[in-house]
Amino acid sequence: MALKIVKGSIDRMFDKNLQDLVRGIRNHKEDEAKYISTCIDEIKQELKQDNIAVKANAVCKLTYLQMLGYDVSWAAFNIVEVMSSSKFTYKRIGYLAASQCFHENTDVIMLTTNQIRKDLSSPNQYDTGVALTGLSCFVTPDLARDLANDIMTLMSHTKPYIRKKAVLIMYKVFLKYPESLRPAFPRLKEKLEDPDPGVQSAAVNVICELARRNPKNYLSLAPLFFKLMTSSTNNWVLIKIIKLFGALTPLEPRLGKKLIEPLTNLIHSTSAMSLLYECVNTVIAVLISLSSGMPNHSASIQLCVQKLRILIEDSDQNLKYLGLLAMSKILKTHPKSVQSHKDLILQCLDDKDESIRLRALDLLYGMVSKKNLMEIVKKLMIHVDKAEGTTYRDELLTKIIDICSQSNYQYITNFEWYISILVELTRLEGTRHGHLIASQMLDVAIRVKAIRAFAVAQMATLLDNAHLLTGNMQRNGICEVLYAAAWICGEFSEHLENPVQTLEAMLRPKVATLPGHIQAVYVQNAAKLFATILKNQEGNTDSTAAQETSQLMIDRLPLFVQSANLEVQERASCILQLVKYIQKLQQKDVEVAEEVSALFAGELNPVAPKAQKKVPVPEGLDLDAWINEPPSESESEDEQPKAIFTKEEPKHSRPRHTEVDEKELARRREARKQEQANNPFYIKASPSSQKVYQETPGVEHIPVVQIDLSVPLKVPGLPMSDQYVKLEEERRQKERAEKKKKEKKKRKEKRSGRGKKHDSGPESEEDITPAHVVDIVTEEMPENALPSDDDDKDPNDPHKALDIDLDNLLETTARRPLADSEKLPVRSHRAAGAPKSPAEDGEAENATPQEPKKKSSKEKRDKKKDKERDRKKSKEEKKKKKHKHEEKEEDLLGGQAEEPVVQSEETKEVEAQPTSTSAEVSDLDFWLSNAPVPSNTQEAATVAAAEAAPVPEAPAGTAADSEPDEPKDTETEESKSSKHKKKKQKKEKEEKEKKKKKKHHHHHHHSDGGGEESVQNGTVEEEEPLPPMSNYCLLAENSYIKMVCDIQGNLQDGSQVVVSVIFENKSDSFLKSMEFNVLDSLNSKLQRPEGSGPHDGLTVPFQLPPGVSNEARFVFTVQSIVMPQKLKGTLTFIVKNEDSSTHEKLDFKLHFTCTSYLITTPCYSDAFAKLLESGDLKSSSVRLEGVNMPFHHLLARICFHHHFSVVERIDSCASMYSRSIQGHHVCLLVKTSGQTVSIDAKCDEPTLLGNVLDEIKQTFSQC
Amino acid sequence: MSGTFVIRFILIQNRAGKTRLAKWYMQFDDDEKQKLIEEVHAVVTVRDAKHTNFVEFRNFKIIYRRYAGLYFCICVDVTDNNLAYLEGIHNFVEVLNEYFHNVCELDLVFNFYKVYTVVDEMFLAGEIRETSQTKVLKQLLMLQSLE
Repeated sequence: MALKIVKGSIDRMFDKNLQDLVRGIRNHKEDEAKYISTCIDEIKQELKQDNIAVKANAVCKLTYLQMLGYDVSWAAFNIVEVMSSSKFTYKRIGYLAASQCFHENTDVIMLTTNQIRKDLSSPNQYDTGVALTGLSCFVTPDLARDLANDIMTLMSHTKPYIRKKAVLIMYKVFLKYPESLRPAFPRLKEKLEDPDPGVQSAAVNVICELARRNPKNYLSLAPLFFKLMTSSTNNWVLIKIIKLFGALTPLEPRLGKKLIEPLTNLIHSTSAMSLLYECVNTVIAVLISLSSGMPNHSASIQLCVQKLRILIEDSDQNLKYLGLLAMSKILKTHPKSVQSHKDLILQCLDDKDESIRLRALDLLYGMVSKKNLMEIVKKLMIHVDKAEGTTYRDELLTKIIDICSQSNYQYITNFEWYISILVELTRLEGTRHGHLIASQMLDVAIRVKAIRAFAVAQMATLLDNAHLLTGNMQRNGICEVLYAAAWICGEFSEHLENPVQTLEAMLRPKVATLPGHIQAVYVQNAAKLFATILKNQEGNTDSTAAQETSQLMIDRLPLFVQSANLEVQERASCILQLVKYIQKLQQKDVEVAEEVSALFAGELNPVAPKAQKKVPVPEGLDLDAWINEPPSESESEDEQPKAIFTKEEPKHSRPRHTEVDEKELARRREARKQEQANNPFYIKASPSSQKVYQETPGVEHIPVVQIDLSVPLKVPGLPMSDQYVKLEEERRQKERAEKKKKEKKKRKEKRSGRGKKHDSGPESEEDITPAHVVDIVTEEMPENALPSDDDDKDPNDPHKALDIDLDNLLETTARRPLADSEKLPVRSHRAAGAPKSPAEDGEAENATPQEPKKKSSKEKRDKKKDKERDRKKSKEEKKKKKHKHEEKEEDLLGGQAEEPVVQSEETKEVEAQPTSTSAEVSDLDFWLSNAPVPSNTQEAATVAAAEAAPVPEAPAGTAADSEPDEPKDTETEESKSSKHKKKKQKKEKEEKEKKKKKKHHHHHHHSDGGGEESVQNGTVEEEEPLPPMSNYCLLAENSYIKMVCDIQGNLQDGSQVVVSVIFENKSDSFLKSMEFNVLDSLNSKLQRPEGSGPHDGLTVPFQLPPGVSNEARFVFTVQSIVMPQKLKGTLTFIVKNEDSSTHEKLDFKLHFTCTSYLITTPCYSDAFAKLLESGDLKSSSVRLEGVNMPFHHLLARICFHHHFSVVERIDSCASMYSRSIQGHHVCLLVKTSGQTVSIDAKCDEPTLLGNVLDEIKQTFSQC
Repeated sequence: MSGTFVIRFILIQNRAGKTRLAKWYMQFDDDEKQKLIEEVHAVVTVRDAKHTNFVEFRNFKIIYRRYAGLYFCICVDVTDNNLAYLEGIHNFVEVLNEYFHNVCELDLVFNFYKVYTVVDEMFLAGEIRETSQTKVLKQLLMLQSLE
């Protein structure tokens, strides 16, 4: 041994430490990879040693290598070893490595659970801290589930350092294990008022983050956050809260009104830019949510815009950027306020930073009006010319088009101007957006009839100068516009001044270098042009002109007939033959023009993009119905459910297919494939095919004349858009003058002396009349088109997925009261791999029948609460208005600190039942209606009045008793006992806090009230809500300590039972040295650590500060499980006060019922039937009288308290199943009629069965 | 993409793209991490002083600040408060400076695990945890004394 140590330390001397490694890497810059691979080999050697110091050093080096991008996942197990070192230095290295290298799929994480738990509960806060930090990085759903309870306990740690960490990590736990949210939420909420500001801000962070993802569930916390906002001075916290309010206001406009004032105050007062920015953002969000223009908020808008202007004018680029960003949000609702800062925003277009320019562009988009469109676009065009870098220029181009085309060309008054802008844009070098320009040209030409003549003239010029666009094949993005040009010239050829010239331009040999789809359009439209020309020329006496045109076609078309593009080739050869035929007729002097132009007669109207989708299904047409009978011979389809038929319906609906059998189909498919493979013209995939054709050597051989592009691109005939700006200016001036004249005239005529109402001030939007009367053809839609527009949603939005996830998290869980099954799993008694089918076992998890409770002071409290709850309930039902008044006073008197907490719990829980929601939320309503906003107060007040909230009054703890006794309905009676149980569990978690509070406030009933309330609105099931249940039952209690326990079998070990005991310190003193001891019986023994005697107690692994509770588990070995048994035990502990410490003890009796040996096991009905048929089981039965509860409650109770699962349920009859830890099958058949329930049971062990049935009977007799 | 607070990751890189710290608050596999590191480097180093300290990056944004040859980058949600995180970075650098007494790149290289400790003291699970420099430094000294 000693030798080993010596050897180890000698080895170490030669080991590289981290510094050596880093230096080594720096010295081996050339062969880094090689050097590192030798290092890794060394590290592997080091990891094989027993010396933990060597290992830790190795792991540390590995972590460094991991950071550099090397794979170290092979060392995961060694990392775990180092993590579990008892020395903090090594432990920290281990955890660091784990947090950097581990991820959800790392296998060894499973091994760490116990180590982490140990570290979490370590007396050394740094161990705990390091474990928490590590956990935050590699927490998995399994770890989250197993450790949730431990972390939750740490949220009440004495050290704020740990509390803070624990609170933050809870968020991670929620995400990985959503079931933990509800049990942990009350405590999390308490942390909002933690004495330590750091913990407070951590809690704010977590809740804000939860709320941001799912605001509506947290609306009720608004008053609490409001208070925090007005009291906190921590900017980080303020930012978080204000951001949260930004998310909440859209849901509750009244909240927004309340916020405006404090936020504007903050805007005025704060010097922190980050906070200012957040305030401005939230004010904007608020103002957006108050959609209906509130006149008195224009001041706030002005304030925001002013502040943003200051940001934008700042020399700091960051502020400039953010200012623009926020400005664009205001723009959406208050464009006028932003438009006055146009100058500033246009300046930003000159900024050096592209992201600022882009922001400014975004803003400009929203700022245009009829009046300034031309001016803005002119500025943008200047920037297009100046712009360096194609990306920014392309961005400018798309923005120009966006700006002009927005809202159906709403702001364009002169389309000639727009066409010329588009034509100017075609001169952009290297743009990717040729297609966009082309589609704009087409759209305008088709839809604005008045502009066609002009457009055609422009397009003809473009075609004429096509070489300018196509000169460089590199830039062929832009040649897309030729597609549009050719089509427009062809389609609207009647407007062409010189069609022959255009035709000639379209048939130039150079056209053959264009992409195929453009050539195809050229050829087709050449034919259209040809038809027009014929028509024009036929009237002439001289027919030679017409024949020349035909000859031109015949001469040029063969070039296209040879095209490699199938489409071009086909069209060209078709048209060529046609023209040849026409030529023949012309030579015979036959008039053909009419017939030729008939080929292209009729007008094409634009069709809306979604038109096809919106065609309504005609009445009487059932798309899902079979047209022919489904084929019966295909056996696979026979077995499939119907849904599959409907999916494949289109295939089968064709009778042709149904007649052909599979073999025939396969044969044909094969043949078709063969055919396609052999057909050189079959296009397999469109994108690649095109490329291939362009790269064919044939294309390269075609001589391409390169054009020097430094030549100024002003082509005679192409208009300059600037001219239009000038013209427009003049036109408007003229119009204005005319208007003035008219007005003067009018005034003169009328002489009514209405004053200067029509003052010719700055002209408004409406005054500008479009230059031409433009008829914008709307896109065609089918008749009776369906109005729905749901197809705009993006199903791929990543946040949507996130949203749903949390929706589930909150909606399925957060509104229900805590059911026992939701309690956080604690320590190891969760049988790993135990088959559980949640669908079947519902609420059921683990249960022990209730031990007759030791009635104590606690019961009194319970009673009081029951009453209080009853009172509440009846209030709800009757909506007693008299209470409302009291409540109002309560609210006004303050207590805001407490109140909101309660409200939230209530509202949240009650929301599950829509009927009572309004009543519960009204408290929030009341808080909100307090806002000093005149416009809505009345409404809010009436709402508040109508929905008087049945909130349990804080100081009414005693008053509750004096309330007239309300008739208790049966439901309440029933759930009472369950409430006892339930409350216990809840209390364990809450009571200590409550007690603390009790001394200072008497508000504690609030939280109880919240919990109570929920009882009535329990789990939302398909029928009636289930009352919540708990299996923790009181073990023993004295003035110092209370113990409650839950007993469960251990599936993995047929002879073990795990007892989870929650110890709660009820006193003001510190409890320590707790020892738990049980007098073993022959049958059951407490498992003690090796080496201890059979009568030694077990040390409870923690101490209890005042008011704190914690849970410990004890394992018992049991031989026979057929009989229930009781074990006597004692808990000894030391009570330590400041000045004294005393020994105390508490006796208890552990009751192992037979149900504690049962384990919820799902069972399928067929297996169940087999089991019953096997005949191995003995039967027994029991009748329960006077059971007054819904059947599903009854089943849930059996499931829950006795660990059964429902196999099958038919009306008022259900079969249930469970298994003991030693493998006995227990089958129940439960029937109900009226108030009588009969249970027939079978089990392979009659004694066990008898006892279980007795226990079930007892459970229900307590109801 | 869920599973964290607003900070997705924190990176410290030098101009050459060598990682000096990489703290991930979101789960990525190793290849993805390297890809992200390279992408961030490509996005950030091309920007100079005239640019803003924010870059849009995939579905997120990166808030970065350059100190000497080192880029400190934080990747957050697009909706988050840029300025706050910018201040957060500065705060972090000031703590480093204090802790290492005039920090330089080599300090970060040779004490990389200490840098992680500093990060962990100031950020946790993707959220800013402690902003008080004195508190952080005190805590760091305590931890160092345990070594």
